[in-house]
Amino acid sequence: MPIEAKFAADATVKDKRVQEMAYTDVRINVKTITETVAIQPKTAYSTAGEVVKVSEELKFKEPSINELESIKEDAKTIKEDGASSVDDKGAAEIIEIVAEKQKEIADKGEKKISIRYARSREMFSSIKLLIAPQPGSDQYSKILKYSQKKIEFQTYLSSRGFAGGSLVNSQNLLKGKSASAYSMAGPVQPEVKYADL
Amino acid sequence: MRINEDPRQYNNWIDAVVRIFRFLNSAFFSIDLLADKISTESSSGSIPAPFLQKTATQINYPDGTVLQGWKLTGGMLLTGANIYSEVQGTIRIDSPDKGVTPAGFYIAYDLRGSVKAVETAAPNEFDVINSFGSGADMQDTTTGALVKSDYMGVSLDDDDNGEYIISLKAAGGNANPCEAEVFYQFEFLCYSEVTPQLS
Repeated sequence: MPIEAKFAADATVKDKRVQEMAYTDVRINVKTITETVAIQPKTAYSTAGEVVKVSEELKFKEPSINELESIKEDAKTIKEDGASSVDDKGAAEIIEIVAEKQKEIADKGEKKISIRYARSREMFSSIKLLIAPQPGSDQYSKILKYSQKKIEFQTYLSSRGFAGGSLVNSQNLLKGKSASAYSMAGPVQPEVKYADL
Repeated sequence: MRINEDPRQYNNWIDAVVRIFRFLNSAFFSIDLLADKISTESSSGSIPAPFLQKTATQINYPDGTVLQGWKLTGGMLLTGANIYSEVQGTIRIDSPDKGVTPAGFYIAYDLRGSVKAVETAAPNEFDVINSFGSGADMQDTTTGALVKSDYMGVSLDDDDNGEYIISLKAAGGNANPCEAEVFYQFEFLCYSEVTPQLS
């Protein structure tokens, strides 16, 4: 398999421009946080039949199928707007693709339609859109705390003298799979604390 | 009921017995043979979000104290960077005796999992699966070659109230972005009076 440029929508890490657009841009009506699926645990049932319930009170709200459609359409509009900056077009395309995939999964999940992949890699989601919590809510405190910790730990790991040296995001994240017209202009900008947006 | 009166009823009765035996067989034997038979609320379009299970592990003391095992399982595709710190949720471990003993007691009992990476620089493409831990191979996505990770582990960040933010951490083995599919299982013990909460 040839090495392909990693498309940002496939990446676990997110670019600040994507994070910022999803969270603050007035042109997108449904505001979301861009996180991995891991921050939204779900109840699992073990073999022994004992239900290990996940605390419901701090769950982030997932966008409905209609909301995902709205996000997708808004992002598409930004992407195709000639007045949008190059960075905005690139970020909007990533949001559009993530929203589309999430919508498809949600739609099939609702209809109990199985999804099958050829490769395990495809089963791992990259970033996931979750409804941005209201300031002052418990969920809001939670995401502020999580993003703060994430940056702290990345800084800590970056300073431990590994061969990698420091946090490096892929330059290739900027590029589309083949020749996307909507690549962001500059190098990847690592995500920031939500408190700073 | 005399079963020879109506053959359809006879068939239904036999079917019901067969179903009961299949159920009992599945219920009894799956407990012994399948430690991780999990049903999730997730769509089959993605791997499940991290989940918490009670395990069969117990340490019993003669004074009646019991340490009970719990296991957090999660998986992620790490891609797009060479340093990762990905939050996996929060676990709250309450005081076992209403505050007399401070909240947050746990013993790290086991950590395992798998790391799958693809080699694409060699003449033949192949997958490599290592145990979860520092040194596990990841793919350098710039060259396609496998490189040993400099670090791979799970961290628990305590806020002194019995709540831990859990993060999956990894550092690739060079300055390029590194990629791997990771599944980890972290088993810990806490007092049996406590049921840890995942949020």
